[in-house]
Amino acid sequence: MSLPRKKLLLLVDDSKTILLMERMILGGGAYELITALDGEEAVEKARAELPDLILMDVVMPRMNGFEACRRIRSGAATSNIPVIMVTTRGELESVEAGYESGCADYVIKPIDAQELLAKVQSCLGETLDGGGDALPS
Amino acid sequence: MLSHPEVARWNVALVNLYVAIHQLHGTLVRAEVVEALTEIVVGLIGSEMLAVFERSDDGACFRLIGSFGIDAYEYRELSASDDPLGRLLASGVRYVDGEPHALADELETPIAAALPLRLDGRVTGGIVLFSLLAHKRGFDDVDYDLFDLLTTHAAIALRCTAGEVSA
Repeated sequence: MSLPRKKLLLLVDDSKTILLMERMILGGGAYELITALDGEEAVEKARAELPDLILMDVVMPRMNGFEACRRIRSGAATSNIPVIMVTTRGELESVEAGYESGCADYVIKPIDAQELLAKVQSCLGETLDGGGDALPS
Repeated sequence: MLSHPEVARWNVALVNLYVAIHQLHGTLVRAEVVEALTEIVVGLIGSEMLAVFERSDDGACFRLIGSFGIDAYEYRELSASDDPLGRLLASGVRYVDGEPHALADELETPIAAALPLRLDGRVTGGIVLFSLLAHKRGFDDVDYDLFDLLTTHAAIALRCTAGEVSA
């Protein structure tokens, strides 16, 4: 009997500190994680790797998170990938005004580990606390 | 035995502290240390107006070595004896808005927190958080854990890259 494939998450942020934080919260074996440092790289990796979910920062060099989300959602192969925006409250106003970019949900900085885990699991259709052992609670 | 919320808080605290330590001590490049400090304050604590200072060798002033969201020129150098913020940092005692501090009344501009950086009993620098993100109402236990860590480990990380600046 083969083990079920681990869900692949694409973490996108220009801050290596935030990427490490997200890897710590979501790592631990529950998910396979890949990263991108800006929106353009995120679009490329989304098309190449077809992740199960994308965690996307808003303010990034080269291409911001909204534009990257729009491009990912408009691609035939990537249109169904849920995107969770990671944002400050100020940026959130833009998120709410521009939900047409296609994001499925958002997380506010500073990141709350439990909230992030819950939203990732929800977007992946996993039962809470049943989707893995990423961050024991 | 710890309750569920206590375990959850410990987990969050450990993740934050690990990330901060890893980023601060993961490089010997001064610019990367300052960048890491900025990212820790912005991303883990939640302030988008901050300044990072290093104290001069003679102790007379604090020089700005990194900032985010402020007028850097205005804070380029603080006298440790004459400037209220410089005096507060030089005192070596952490200031948090709303908490008692001997020099709090001297501040001309309200700030959220000032963290003197200490090494071997000497104040070697400081981090000033001018404000918090609008939705953040104050500091919690995890933030105070980070303050304690930064007080020493930011000082060490900056000291380890001090030679690079003058090289």
